[in-house]
Amino acid sequence: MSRRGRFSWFLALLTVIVYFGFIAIVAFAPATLAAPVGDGVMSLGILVGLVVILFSVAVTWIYVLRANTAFDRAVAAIRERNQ
Amino acid sequence: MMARLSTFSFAAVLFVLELSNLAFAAPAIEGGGEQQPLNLPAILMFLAFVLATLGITKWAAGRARTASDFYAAGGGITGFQNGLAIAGDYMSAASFLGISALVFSSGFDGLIYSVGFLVGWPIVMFLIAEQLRNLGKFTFADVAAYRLDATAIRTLSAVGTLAVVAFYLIAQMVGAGKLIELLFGLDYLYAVVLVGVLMITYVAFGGMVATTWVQIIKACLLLGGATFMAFMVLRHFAFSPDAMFKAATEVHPAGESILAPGKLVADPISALSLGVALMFGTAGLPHILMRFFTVKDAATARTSVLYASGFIGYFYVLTFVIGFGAITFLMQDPAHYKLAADGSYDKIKDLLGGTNMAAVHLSSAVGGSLFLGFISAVAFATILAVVAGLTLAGASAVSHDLYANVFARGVSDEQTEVGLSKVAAVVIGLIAIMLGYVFENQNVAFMVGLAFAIAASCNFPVLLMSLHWKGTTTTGALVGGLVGLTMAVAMVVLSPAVWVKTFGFEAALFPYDNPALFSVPAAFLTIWIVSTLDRGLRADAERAAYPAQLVRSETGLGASGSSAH
Repeated sequence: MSRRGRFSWFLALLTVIVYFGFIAIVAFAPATLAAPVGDGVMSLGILVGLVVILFSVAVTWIYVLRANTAFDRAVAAIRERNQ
Repeated sequence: MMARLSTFSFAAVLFVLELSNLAFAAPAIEGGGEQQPLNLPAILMFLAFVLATLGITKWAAGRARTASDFYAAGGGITGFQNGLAIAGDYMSAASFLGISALVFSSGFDGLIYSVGFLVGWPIVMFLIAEQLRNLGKFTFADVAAYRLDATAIRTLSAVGTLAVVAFYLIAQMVGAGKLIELLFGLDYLYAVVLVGVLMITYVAFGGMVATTWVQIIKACLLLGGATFMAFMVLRHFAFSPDAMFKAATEVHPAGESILAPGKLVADPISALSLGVALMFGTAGLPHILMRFFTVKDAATARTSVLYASGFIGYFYVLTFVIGFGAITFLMQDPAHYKLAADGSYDKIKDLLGGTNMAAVHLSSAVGGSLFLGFISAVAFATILAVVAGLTLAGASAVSHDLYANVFARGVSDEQTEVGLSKVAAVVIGLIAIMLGYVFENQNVAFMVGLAFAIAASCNFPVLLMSLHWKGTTTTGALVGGLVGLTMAVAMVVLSPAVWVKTFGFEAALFPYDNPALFSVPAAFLTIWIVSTLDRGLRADAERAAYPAQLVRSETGLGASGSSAH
């Protein structure tokens, strides 16, 4: 149980850091996000924003993968013992 | 078709959001116009939606017998269905029209909101969703009050819920009235009454089953419509986003600066405060939290968050494309603008119906008048679904928290409780109609921001601390929640959006439009300090009860299951 607890707090903290990192760059160093990516016109900011969106869905997915398999097997074992 | 939008000039109002007060500049309503001619394809498609949802309500009413059926659809919703329904609850007309409008007018800045609205979901997932499912039955107060004093904590949670619901509802009702008046040519008062009556019908007769299916249908329509629009836009640019961005910088008055952070973030404190409200507000919205009781166990609760965040993330990427599509398709076509005498127009401000109509104009540009009708009907359905979810959350707080567990001290019978919940839904609906009418010409844009701020500053800290910190006591949670609630309300009232723009005072007493950066930490700190100082017998008993709560919240031992359906 505590393993899942640590895992979820770690991911929650990671999400907070990634998001507020993004906001902090927007707030304090907006110029860095204006730079174009590669040869195109698309800016770094748009890319970073999209990456944060993908990141949010991805961490959620990773958590579900682990929680619904390994952790839930452990929980099921505990519930068995308590029956 | 566009001529129908023309004489009317209202700006933004509510649709800007969830945006607005959160936002840094709340647009004001700029005045009314005469009634619009009827928009026939839109009305027919909307009628089809209403008939389908009323049919579902009738079917649901036949099955909703117990309290569990009414509040939680008997716990029989699947993870995929619940994910869609959560997305339906969350993707309001404000997100759709407001964010695409923001991208249309300032480009990149719209993405800041999209990201903010999404990152709340991992937090809900990691810290709240499964614990909520394992500990609660019908409302998040079940969870917050699990080992704390029921009377105090349920009253606090009910107040937090009703405050969020009230402000959110007013904003949605006024926005609905304005939008329907504009798109369908229906008089404002009729529009508000229509929305109110439909939401009362869904909730009072169909309970959570009907509300869930309304959300699911609406989510599919909205995702389908937005996908089609984004697809048409990208196809125009041979599926090269870079070509689209390039074309947009060439026609937008702000040029290349639309690809970088703009004036929305001139002030770092506001940007951070907005971020706090968006991220943690989501985890305190009662109509969203309530959805976790509709699934059978914690694993399904997790799956539903995953689907929800996938759909919502996808939707925000679409709105970004739609916003840029609107720039490239609309800005060079005077047909979408209110022209000055010499034929010139401001590419942002003169858009017919205001910038919030950017997505609606784009729908006609890429799909003709029939698709315009479809998107209009979807916008209406979206509002309807969101207000129905809010009404159900409000009604549950009144019947399940205030009546059954505070006034009747947990000894009421189920039938009385459900009956009262239906009465509460009717009363809330009537109040919403009345307030919608009263606030017609007020600037209500700040109210959604206020709802998010209260959710983040009162509901979220109380819930999180009671779940995850064993030291939390009733007194601590109560005082902390009240501090968060009071600070959020007071700071918004004293902020530029209300103190200056609504009350007309010279200068704001609190300089930022969003209080969350200050009120959220204050709530947490107060819960911690007061709980630590709390040395009563009850406090000791509550701390001692934590391990038992922890076991149930993490394993689901003894959790309420689903009824057989």
